Amino acid sequence: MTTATSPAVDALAERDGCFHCGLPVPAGFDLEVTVGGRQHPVCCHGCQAAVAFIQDAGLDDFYRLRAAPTGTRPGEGVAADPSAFADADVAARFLHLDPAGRAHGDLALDGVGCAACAWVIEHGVKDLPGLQQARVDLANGRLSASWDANDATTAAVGLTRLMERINALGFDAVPAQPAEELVLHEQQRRRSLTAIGISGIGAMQVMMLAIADYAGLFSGMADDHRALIVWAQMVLTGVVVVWGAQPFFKGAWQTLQAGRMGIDVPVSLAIGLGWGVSTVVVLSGGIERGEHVYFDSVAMFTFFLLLGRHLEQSVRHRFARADARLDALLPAAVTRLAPDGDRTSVLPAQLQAGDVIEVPPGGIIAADGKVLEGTGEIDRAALTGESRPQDVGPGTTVPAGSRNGATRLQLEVTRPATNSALAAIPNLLARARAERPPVVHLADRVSGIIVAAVLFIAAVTAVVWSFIDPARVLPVTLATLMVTCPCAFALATPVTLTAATMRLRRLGILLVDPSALERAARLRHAYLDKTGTLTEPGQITCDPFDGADRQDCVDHAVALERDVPHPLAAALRRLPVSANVTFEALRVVPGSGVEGFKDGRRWRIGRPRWAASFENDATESATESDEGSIWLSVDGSPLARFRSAHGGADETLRTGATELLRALRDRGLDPAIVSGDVADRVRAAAGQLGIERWWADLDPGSKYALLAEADGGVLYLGDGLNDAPALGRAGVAVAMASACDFTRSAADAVVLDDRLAGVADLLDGAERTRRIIRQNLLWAISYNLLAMPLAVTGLIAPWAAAIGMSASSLLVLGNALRLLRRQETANAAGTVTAWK
Amino acid sequence: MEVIWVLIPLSVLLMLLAVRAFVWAVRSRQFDDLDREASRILFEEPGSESARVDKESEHPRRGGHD
Repeated sequence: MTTATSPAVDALAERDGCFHCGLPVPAGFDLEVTVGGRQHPVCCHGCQAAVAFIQDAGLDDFYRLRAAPTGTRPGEGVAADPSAFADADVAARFLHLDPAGRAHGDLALDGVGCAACAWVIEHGVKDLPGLQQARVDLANGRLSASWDANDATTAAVGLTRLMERINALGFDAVPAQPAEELVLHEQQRRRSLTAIGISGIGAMQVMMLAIADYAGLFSGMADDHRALIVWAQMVLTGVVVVWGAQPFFKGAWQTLQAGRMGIDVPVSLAIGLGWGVSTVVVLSGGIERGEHVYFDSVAMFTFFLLLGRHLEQSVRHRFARADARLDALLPAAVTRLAPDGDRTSVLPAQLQAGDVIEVPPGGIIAADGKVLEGTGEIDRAALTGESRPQDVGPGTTVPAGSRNGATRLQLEVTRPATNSALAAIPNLLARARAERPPVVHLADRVSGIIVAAVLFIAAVTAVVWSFIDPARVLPVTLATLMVTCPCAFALATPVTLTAATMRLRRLGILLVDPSALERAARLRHAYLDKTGTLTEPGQITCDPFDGADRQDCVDHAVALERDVPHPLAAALRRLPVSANVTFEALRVVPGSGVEGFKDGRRWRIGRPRWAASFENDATESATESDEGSIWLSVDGSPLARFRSAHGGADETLRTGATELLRALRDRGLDPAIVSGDVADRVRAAAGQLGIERWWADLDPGSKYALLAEADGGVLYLGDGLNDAPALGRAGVAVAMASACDFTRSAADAVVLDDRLAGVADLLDGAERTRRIIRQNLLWAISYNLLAMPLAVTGLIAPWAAAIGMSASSLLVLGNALRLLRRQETANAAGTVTAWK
Repeated sequence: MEVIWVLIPLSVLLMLLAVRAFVWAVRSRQFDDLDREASRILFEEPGSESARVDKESEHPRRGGHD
């Protein structure tokens, strides 16, 4: 088939990278696939095979309908080698056999982001022998499957077949423990959806009837017709209150049992009073007396509060996902070497101190250990945010959770996986959470007084009126209860927090715990993580030596470093290439670099002393001061030097870091750097930013201890796994979007676009939110105080009480919505915030 | 206006039925994954009649340059 596309379209496809995964196509790799009558480049054989497999299965609609490429090369994501799960004992840990002869298992998927991915996986695995059911849960990135299996062995075979098939489709899958949290969240979500549906349908019906009732006030209505309308409202609202408002009553009961006061108490009182009073009015013949009922307000009030609570819960659930558990950072299975050289596949949890394990290139290290054999580098980025690799060799200790470099390592396990430094982080986080002083909402502090006051005043009114005029006891007491009903008061805090959450979301900040906005009032310090938060790795520059062509050097270097999982190599691969170069006999020399042959000449890239053989003193002396750079050479003669830009420093300040510091100081916060990095680099960054207080060489525990010692509230901004305990303890904890799920789950807010100025937006938003909450509470209480004397003395008409109550609630709602009205004025640099 | 004696109780009954239907829909997991159901209509079941017909015409929408 001929292609007659315009050059522009072809250029676009080129830039888009691999057709299947979307990653850049390495230089020198020119495989193509034909889909939909057009050629597309692919980046590796894995992707090419995946495209072919999907086409053969007749599932090529996938490429037409997917939202985006998968983003991970097959085998490079959370992948685990399927053969590791062929072992029945290992597989059994992830599977559940039912008496009907079926195995059930969950797999965590990588690269699955849209409905098309879910579809292609569900249909791609359909023809596997014995497969009963496979369903992708897109929101959680999981596949639940069941297949015929009589015993553990056949179940394990089914599992490996399933994993192999998913790999063949170009996605990665790893068996996952069935997550109790997910099931629990799903139940909670269903319960809250049911409650919202019931209250929504009910509230609309009640409102419709209420409009007829109000119209009757003006145009006149026969008493029996009005009675019918009011009775219908009573029944419908009864359904809403009994079924829909249950969460509030339960919550109130729980807080009261715990001897505390929460916002659920006044909410329940408002709903209960509104419905109870109106029901008593109806049952005691109040309709004939022309009295008013409040069913519509009660139903609407319940509906809106449930809606707000549902939104808040959805955000929380998204961040407390099962993947956020730390296990997800460890490999699902590891290779253990027996003394006689036998290899068995075991779970990380089964490792004992003294076991010898083998870590493949690019694999995650499952337990703290000591290197026995092999030299290379490990990357601790997930652990500390530190992007520079660490050299390892026999005798070096390596921490669990770090990623192995390009070589194979054999380790002796020094501490079982359940006892590693990594495993200690969740415990520290749990302790931090428990020690953090709970937020006392302003509303919570007064709600006890309000509730007591309402009940006390109603009782006194009833008693006093029984002496004055026994016939008016009921109407006057009901009117008093209605006027003092803390509806507006109960609404004041939740609606403001919901509006603020929505507002911040538009500014790119996901607020996981809205109560952080209230805690932000007491901040005095700002503790900032350095690596990945304030600084980022610098760019690579290429300095050719005399006579070498710069672009030619880059092309060769990129081709040599094509498959090396080293951060420096990754940075190097981002350099623009002009031609594809192919090398033969490409090999990685551990601890030195990469070597390849082309036209009989030996090309090397790596450490200067290894890459170049020194014939003249000038180049040799140049290597002395050149520790951080790598050299490219052909047949031993140096061609070019690659090193990080910015005067040798291998990290630079991130955009917006200086502005962030200014913004923090403007708001009266005292900034400090807390870093796990070495003192020199921390000092350099602190100097650049003009920060006087800094701590270096901190482990997660000491970061946490620093927070506990701080006098006054601390704003903590971080992105590494080692920041998680500190985030849990901080007054306001902010994580950057680049942080892993676990770290994000420890934070109160996540800056979604990694824009540092987002922190200033958050602080300003918190300030405005607190102001509006105070205004709302003040208004709600003053309204009740003003109207109460009138109601107690029997001077207020029931309809006036109803209008007053609704108007009061609407005013509170409108005031909260002011948070949303602001125009977007944040500019690209983020220096002008939308809150001003 | 005597008809409202029938209509209003009827509307209450209908509302209760609507609530019942909604609860059934939530319990039978119809609201579990809202993203996928929206696009399900776009996908053909492989091997179904319509899919085969579409395959033969080789999707004239795409690759239509030749």
